[in-house]
Amino acid sequence: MVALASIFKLSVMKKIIHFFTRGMVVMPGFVVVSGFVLILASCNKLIQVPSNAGGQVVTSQVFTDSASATAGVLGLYTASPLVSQWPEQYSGLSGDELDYNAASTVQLQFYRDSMSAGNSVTTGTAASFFTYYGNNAIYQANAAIAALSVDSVISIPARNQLIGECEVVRSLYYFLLVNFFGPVPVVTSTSYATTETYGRASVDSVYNQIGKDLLDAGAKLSAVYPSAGHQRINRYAAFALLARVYLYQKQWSQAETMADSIISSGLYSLPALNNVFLDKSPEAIWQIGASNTFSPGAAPGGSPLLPYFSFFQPNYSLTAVQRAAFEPGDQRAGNWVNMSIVNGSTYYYPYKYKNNGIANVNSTPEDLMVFRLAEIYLIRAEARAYLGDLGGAMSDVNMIRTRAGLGAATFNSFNDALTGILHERQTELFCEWGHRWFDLKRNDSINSVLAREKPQYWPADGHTALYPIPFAELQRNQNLIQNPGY
Amino acid sequence: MYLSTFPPLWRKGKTGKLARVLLFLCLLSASMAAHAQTVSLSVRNASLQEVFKEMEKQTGYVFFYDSKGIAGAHPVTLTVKGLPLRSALDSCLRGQPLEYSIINHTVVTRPKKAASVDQETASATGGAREIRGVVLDSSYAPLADATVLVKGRKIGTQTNSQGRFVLKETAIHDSDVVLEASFTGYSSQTKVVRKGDGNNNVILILKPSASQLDQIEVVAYGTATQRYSVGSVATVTSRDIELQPIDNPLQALQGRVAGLQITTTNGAPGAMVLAQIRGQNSLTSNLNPSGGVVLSSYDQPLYIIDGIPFAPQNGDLSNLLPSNLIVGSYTTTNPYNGISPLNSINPHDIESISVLKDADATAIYGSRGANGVIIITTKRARPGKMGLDVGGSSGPMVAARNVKMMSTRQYLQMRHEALANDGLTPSISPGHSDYDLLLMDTTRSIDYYHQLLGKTAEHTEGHVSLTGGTDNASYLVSGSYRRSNYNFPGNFYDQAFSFNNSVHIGSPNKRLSMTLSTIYSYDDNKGSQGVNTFGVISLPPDYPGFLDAKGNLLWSYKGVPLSAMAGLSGNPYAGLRKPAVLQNYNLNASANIAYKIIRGLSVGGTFGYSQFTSRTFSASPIAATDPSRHTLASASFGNGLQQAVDIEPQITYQRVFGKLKLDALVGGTYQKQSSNSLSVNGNNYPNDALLNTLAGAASITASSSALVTKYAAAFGRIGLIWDSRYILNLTGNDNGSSLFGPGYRWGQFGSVGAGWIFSETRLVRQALPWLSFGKVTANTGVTGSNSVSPYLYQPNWTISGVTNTYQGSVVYTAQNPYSPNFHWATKHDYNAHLSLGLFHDWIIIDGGVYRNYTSNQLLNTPLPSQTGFASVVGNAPYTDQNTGYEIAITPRISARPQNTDGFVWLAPNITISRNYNKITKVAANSPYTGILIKGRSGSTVPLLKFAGVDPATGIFQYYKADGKTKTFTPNAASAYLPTPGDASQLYDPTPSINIGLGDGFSWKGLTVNFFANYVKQRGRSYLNSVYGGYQAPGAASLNEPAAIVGKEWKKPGDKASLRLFSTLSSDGLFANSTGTLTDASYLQISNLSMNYRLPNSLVKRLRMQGGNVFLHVQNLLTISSYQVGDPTSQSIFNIPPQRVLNGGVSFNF
Repeated sequence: MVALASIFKLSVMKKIIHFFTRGMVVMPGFVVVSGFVLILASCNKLIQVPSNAGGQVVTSQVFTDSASATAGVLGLYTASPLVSQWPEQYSGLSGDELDYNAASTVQLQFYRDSMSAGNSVTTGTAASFFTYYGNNAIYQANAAIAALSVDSVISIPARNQLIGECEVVRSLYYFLLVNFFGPVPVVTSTSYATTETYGRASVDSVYNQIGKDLLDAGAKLSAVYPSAGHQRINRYAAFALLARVYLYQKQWSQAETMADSIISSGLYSLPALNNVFLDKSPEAIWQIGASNTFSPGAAPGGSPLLPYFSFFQPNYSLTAVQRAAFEPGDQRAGNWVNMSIVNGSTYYYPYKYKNNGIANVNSTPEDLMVFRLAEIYLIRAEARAYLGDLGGAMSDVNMIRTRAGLGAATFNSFNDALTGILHERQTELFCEWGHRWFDLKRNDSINSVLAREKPQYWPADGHTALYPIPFAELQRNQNLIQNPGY
Repeated sequence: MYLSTFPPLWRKGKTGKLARVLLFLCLLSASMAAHAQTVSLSVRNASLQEVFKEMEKQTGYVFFYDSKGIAGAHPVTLTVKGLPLRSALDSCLRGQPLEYSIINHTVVTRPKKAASVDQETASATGGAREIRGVVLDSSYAPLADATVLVKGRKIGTQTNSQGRFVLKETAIHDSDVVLEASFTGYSSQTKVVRKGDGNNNVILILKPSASQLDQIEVVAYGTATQRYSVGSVATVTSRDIELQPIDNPLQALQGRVAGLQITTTNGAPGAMVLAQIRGQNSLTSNLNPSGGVVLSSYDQPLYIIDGIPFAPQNGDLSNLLPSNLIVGSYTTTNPYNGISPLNSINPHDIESISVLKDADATAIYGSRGANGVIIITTKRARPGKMGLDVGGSSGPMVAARNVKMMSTRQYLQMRHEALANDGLTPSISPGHSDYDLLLMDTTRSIDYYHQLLGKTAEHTEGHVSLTGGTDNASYLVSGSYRRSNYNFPGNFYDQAFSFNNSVHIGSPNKRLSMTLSTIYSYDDNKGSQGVNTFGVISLPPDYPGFLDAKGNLLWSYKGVPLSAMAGLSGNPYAGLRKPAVLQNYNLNASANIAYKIIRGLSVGGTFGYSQFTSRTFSASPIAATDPSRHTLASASFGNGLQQAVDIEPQITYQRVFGKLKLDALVGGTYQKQSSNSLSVNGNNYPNDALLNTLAGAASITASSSALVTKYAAAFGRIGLIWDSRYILNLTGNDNGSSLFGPGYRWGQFGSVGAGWIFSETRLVRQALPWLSFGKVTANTGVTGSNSVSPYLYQPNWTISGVTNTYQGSVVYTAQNPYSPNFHWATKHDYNAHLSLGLFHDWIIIDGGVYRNYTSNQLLNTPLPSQTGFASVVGNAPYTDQNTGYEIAITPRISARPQNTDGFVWLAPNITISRNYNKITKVAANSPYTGILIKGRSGSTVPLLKFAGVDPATGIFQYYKADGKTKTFTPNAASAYLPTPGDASQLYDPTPSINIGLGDGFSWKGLTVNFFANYVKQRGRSYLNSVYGGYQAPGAASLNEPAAIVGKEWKKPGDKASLRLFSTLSSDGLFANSTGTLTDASYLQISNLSMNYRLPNSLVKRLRMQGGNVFLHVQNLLTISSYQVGDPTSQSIFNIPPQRVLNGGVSFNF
């Protein structure tokens, strides 16, 4: 009774004070209803609804137990940014991998290196920036990490696994963001009121965040995959990204160590070319399994890089530069490239993934490859080259060349090695996750290479090496500053 | 039940006339009324008073007599058994100085004429200190709670349940007094009680008022009349609704209510009809990246049916369909294409629709009231003889304004011109698909517009209703049927059945009254899935058609698949073979209960339940799928349930204190609304015959949703009227809503309104005798706008089960950011009205001005994507203002169709309204900067300034932001895209002025009425549809309206209005430029009705009460300079608005 009375008093007093501050307009009416108000105002119960009555739960309910928390983290694997495959499309067009044969202004802007910040393209969903931050991806990782970092009924190993997964996904997003856009806001909180005003953090601090996350993830995750296949993140997925980050940061010995730990784990091997991208590929350190939001095997419209029918003109075709990169006898030019002849012209298109979900419904399932062993060999090769171990570099590169049916390479000098490794990256990793675009950028060769290859499009100042911050983002956050040249 | 005194009907003058009227009436009805009642009596030397009392008891009739008048009557000795009342009265009054009349259920006894003079002389010597009397209506039924005032004095009272009143201490020593009786819906009646006539027996008979001012209209929690109203309420009654052959009740309001904008989205049966009162209040909008604003939420009023909030409101029901039910819309940008739930309410069942527009009228609804309220009241039980109403009508329905597409000759010319412009020759080779030129039979010319939309559809309706009963128990039972077809070829229709009943129960002592109303309706919309109207209309006129000789879908022509030719999914007609059925079951049940505790005080309330169930079925049979695609059949089954439980206890108190009339109301609301949906998709059926069951599906996916909202409120209203002149109205509402987070749920709303009826002053009466009524009112108030989805105040995650899994496990997706602190937008409303009644209220002119502003806008504010979300719901410091004026001219009821034989020109019914929307406050540094512009309308769309066609190259040019530099883009491939500042031309699509005009005449039995609308607006021309996509005239297999022929650029130097024809895509900018703006004003004769009343002789012969033959025409004629298509819908690819001609009959028995 006392409690009731005090609640009553409090809310009613508040209400009464509120009334009389509402001003003349409202007050007179209340003379009439005040009696009712006193009864009703304390009857908050009347309008009480259960928080999950709308078929949803709130954050705290998601991470209450192990099964539910896992479902919360698994949401990251089906989030559209991860499975959009846009890095291969757009960086392929901006760089020297892909030609564009259709008329969509979205793609044309990238192909012509004439992206603008203030058009419907970069503001809309096709925009990289929006895609990575938006669609809840980083938010969900942030929310999960926060919720799982406090004590709960979920066991510590289970929490470590889930946190580790979130950290790797978050790092991958930031890795892509920092490489496409340069400095970007580092957001690790879920409070929009706090994060909406964040300005762009320096490239170093973005990498700091990535490094911190990946080291923590490496410590938290085990080598054992928590589910069937290599479809969820284990320790080596964290190490794979870490190796790449060290490589980009030119921290050669750490890069070598990381790559080495993956290779020497013995968990992975190099299968035949046509089996690399299949489900349960032994090369996969992490591959994203088919889901309803992403299924290279059955997605409507198929993989964006494949033509609708084999006899259709593909929207994207490999550039002359990319095709010329394949040495004679390179089996990748036959197994990972396909062609269609339309209207007398021949179009070559990437054929790493072979299933567009339309023509070959029943073909072998493919998964979306995120990290694979070939890249790790190439990372170790490059790190070794920089560390002066030309022989080690050579043997790593030759692992890849052998599988492609090519003869062994011989590196006589550091320059030889570096040229050979980058060339091998171009032919091995083409149209995957923007590798070629990033390689040109991190070696400061993007201007010279693209000015030579795409003289009609590449801007003299090379400003399009960084994509523009979408105009809408600048509009929504005054603290964001546009990249130069836009 | 008796009256101890009896009316001095015998008096000369006015009342003498009244007596004659009474006598006349009694001749008419006495024979009918009396023979049914019998009396059994056995009395000896009883007083007449006692006998009357006994008779009252036995017959239920009311006896009026003067106790003094019968005091001198002889005692009665009488024994009768089962004698008719009339004979019994004859017996006991034989030899008495009295005579009687029986009028309905009332026996009026009075002294025989000869005695009347004596009586009058006698009473002159009176001098008592009170006046007694009775107030009756024109059928002599007593009027309870009528107000009786002594004019010029602060004395007044109310009648009791028997219509009687006593004015105590009304000493009438020195002067005559004037009594005035008034009752809602009736003309006031005054009566002079002469000096010294104390203790007299005054009978006041009130006639139903013919003045528009006294018509009872339904308002929030009660009824009112315009005469004493200080708010803005407009009512459209069945009289006007029944003249219109329409599907959706909202269509009946078009133009008839000043300040109400009705938008019919397209001409498909059952299509969404939108209503908006006094402009858009909320700025809820999507940030359109190309610089425009798309309203994502069109403010609609709160819909209440028989006191209960309509569960689905006016939300688009197509959302319930798992796959889109396309009801004839090409664009997907308008979120309001679809099926309206209000379609389930048959217009014929509606008694009235009240539109509550301002704060005084809506503040009692609190946070639900800001966008106004529409109260639909269905037909109610009426006491009286059992009456049967039967009627029906039917007639054709055709597209009102068709679009003429190019003929094959024109089409081929366009195509060849386009190819020549591009330096191409016709070719069928990969990348070139000029099948229309090389493969098809270019000697054929088929009008595909006409093939899809040219069918004459049919509109049919029928109804039957039975009503009758006594004052204490009356009933109405009605059933109706309505059906409209689609213009599409095939059997597509929307049909609705409804069953209504209404029962009114009153206790004999009139303390308890209860009205129960139930509507049960079933609406069945059988449409088709995926009829791409654009796809069909744009087919080249030499396209080979859809069906083979056997009626099967054609998939190839001369060995070439159709999909290769049309660039569509093969055969656009296939959509018509994919059914999409929406069935709605609507139940509205309400009880309105009042129990009178003491005089003036009653408790009761409204209690009800609204349930709206939707079932959807859509299927994609193998037979409707291109065989080369090897697609299996699939089907979707949907179920939606929307419910509202509404409990609203109320206490009302009505008293007259001297000159003060008090009308108070307090009440509470508890409302729970829930909405559930379930949709199941069956995939990969092996056989079309199994599509109607899930059992045949090889795989099944399902999704469901559920939402609950609760609302609770305490509300009150005090209405004060002083001396019939000064009015004060206060309303208040304190409500809580689960739409908002804890701590932000409760809010207070209210209004103050005042009025002065200046025509009651002596000065005005003398100076302006033609002014029968004059009133100025003003009101102000605060309401709330709560248009937000439930649960957004918590950080939600959802599991979408079967549609999103990873490795077989379900996954969560975060839905929205955590934003717990928002609440309703607040609307402040200021209104002033002047109402004038001229020439005995022959015409009422009501002019109003308003200004309201909605602040603390509840916006879905865009967020930078770094936050993880595109937007967050919250209050933003924007203010949107609507100002405007409204004029309504309404004639007296008697100036409308009457059963008079002479020629009567009916006084016009006019509404004029204009609304100005303006953003008055904007937030600094907002994502909306440059889009929501201070001083501009919230629905402004920035457009590029069109700079004409370049004479040299023949392509469209636009001005850049500086307004001077021209820029252009030959086609999409050049990818010129404007920077935001370039779209500098601000276009506001909202109509600037709306005028409605109704008029007519009647002559002998014929009555003709028409209603016309005039809307002044800027709109988008047909060119917006032509260039709306990236396709432009000249592209392969795309026909265009014939209107563009000859307007295109052909050679350098041409000053053309349209760019050169080209097979390449257009720049996509033209549609967003001023080049597609046009004057879309129109004058529409929206309704013409002709009604012929069957002559009495015929009616009598057929044993009817009345009969009518009528012709109703809806959307008769649209006069507009709008070139191609309909200015009301402004898209050439939608199903055009329909012209409906309905002929029918109605009979009353």
